[in-house]
Amino acid sequence: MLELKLDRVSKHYKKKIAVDRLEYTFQNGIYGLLGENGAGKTTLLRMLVGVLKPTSGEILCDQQEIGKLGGEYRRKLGYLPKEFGYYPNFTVHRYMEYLAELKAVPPEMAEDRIQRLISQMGLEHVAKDKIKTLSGGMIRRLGIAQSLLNDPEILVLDEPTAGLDPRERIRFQNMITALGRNRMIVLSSHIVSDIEDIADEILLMKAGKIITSGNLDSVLKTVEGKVWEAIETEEAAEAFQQNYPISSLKNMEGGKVCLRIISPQKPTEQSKEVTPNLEDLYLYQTFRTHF
Amino acid sequence: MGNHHKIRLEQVEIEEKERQKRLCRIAEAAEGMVSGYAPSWYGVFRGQLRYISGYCLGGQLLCMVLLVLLFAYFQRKGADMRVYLGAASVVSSFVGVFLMMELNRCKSFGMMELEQSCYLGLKQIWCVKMIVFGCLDILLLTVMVAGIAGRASLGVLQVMVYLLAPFVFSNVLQLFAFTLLRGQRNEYLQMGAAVLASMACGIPLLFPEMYKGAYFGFWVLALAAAVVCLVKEILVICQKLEEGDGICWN
Repeated sequence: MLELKLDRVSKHYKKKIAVDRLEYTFQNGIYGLLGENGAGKTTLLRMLVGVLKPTSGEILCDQQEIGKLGGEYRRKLGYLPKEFGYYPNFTVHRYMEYLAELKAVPPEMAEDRIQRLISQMGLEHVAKDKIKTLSGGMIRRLGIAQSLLNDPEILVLDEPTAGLDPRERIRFQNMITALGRNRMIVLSSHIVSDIEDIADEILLMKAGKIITSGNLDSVLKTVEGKVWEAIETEEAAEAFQQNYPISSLKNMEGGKVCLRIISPQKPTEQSKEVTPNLEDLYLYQTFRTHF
Repeated sequence: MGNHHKIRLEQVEIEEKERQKRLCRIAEAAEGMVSGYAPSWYGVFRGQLRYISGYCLGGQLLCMVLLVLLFAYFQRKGADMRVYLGAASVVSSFVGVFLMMELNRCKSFGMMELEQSCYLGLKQIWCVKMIVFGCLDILLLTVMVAGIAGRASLGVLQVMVYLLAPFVFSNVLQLFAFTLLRGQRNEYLQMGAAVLASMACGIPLLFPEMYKGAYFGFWVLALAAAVVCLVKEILVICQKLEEGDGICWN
């Protein structure tokens, strides 16, 4: 089974530390990266695909440094960058052909794969259209399609669901779940539910470090007993928002507000403990300096 | 021998599960063999040629035609070929902009990151484009050297140096602009750098005595310096690609 190992990997941009001595091993399965803006997710993904070179440390694919593997490593990769670029005057089909060429997809297989992916992504009706005429969601789907052209063993997706409508997101989630059975998929997202629904392993990043990792149940254990629900007046709710991370807030009848509060201690006598979810964990970990 | 002496094999029972398992293994192995496909250099060139922008390649060819027409004009008029040499330097030093614009395309449209993550990375893609455009440049310069050397009482070596020095200098300046700039407006800035370099290469037109033998040493030195700078610029680009900092948008 393919293994990708981060061995004390760091990336510095002048004085800023984007990724700080990461150690982690990826194997087959779906890995979800969560974290605030600037947590180092994109930098980590760029290093995984070999676009960025770590300032220190190594990334090893089956015990071999990825830089030394060069094209042989890149052959295994499928990548969707956050800022997905395209040549606006290319048609969808030509763009796929171009990338199939760069990904060294055997010519006798390329057309078949292109057709299959275009249809899988629901882009058949625009296959001959120029990319500049497509909607944002279609362009994102094209991005996902190109990442699968070479049937990659390692699939790296940086915010793949950004710009997709709910139906497209569900279709994407189902597809990733099916693909994740026999390959390694690393994806980042701001949409916590995307990660919650499909990731086998969740990695929470903060300030360039992985602060929590594990499957959903194990990571949620770290926040057990720290999520509370309370029904308060509007004034009290405002006060709570100043002092605690609030993962949800609902208006109720009679001017009352139902709050979901993240706190290591019981915030009020009336609040009751509730089962945590990934959003609670995310808030707990990212607001941790408050506690 | 009669039929009754033939050896008859017993009916072999095929275990369906095992058969499927083995077929799967064969399919996997076959898939693995196919995924090991590596295009030949010829295949890479042929593939990339299909995607080179017609605008850039057309521009390059147009400049070549312009030089040939200019040459025919000078020859017909019986004008001083040293003036043609100066004019040819200006045009040939501008020609490099089309390669730069072609290389710039992936930068302008944010494709660098994606292309760099492919089996054929930016190094290979740019290498192919540089070779294609470079071959056209060499062809152009060779024709010009051959045309001028016989008609301007200048040796082949001298004409080569007089043409190459501004050409290499211009390419250095344009490569420098290429490594500095990013975004969609850089095409205009790249064009600006090419015009500036061409204008600088036109200076000898104002001082035709610069093509005299006394200044040849200066030309050789200028060419040597330009070649050193060109190699340095190419190394800088290679390093930037290696590090990746210049590839990513943010």
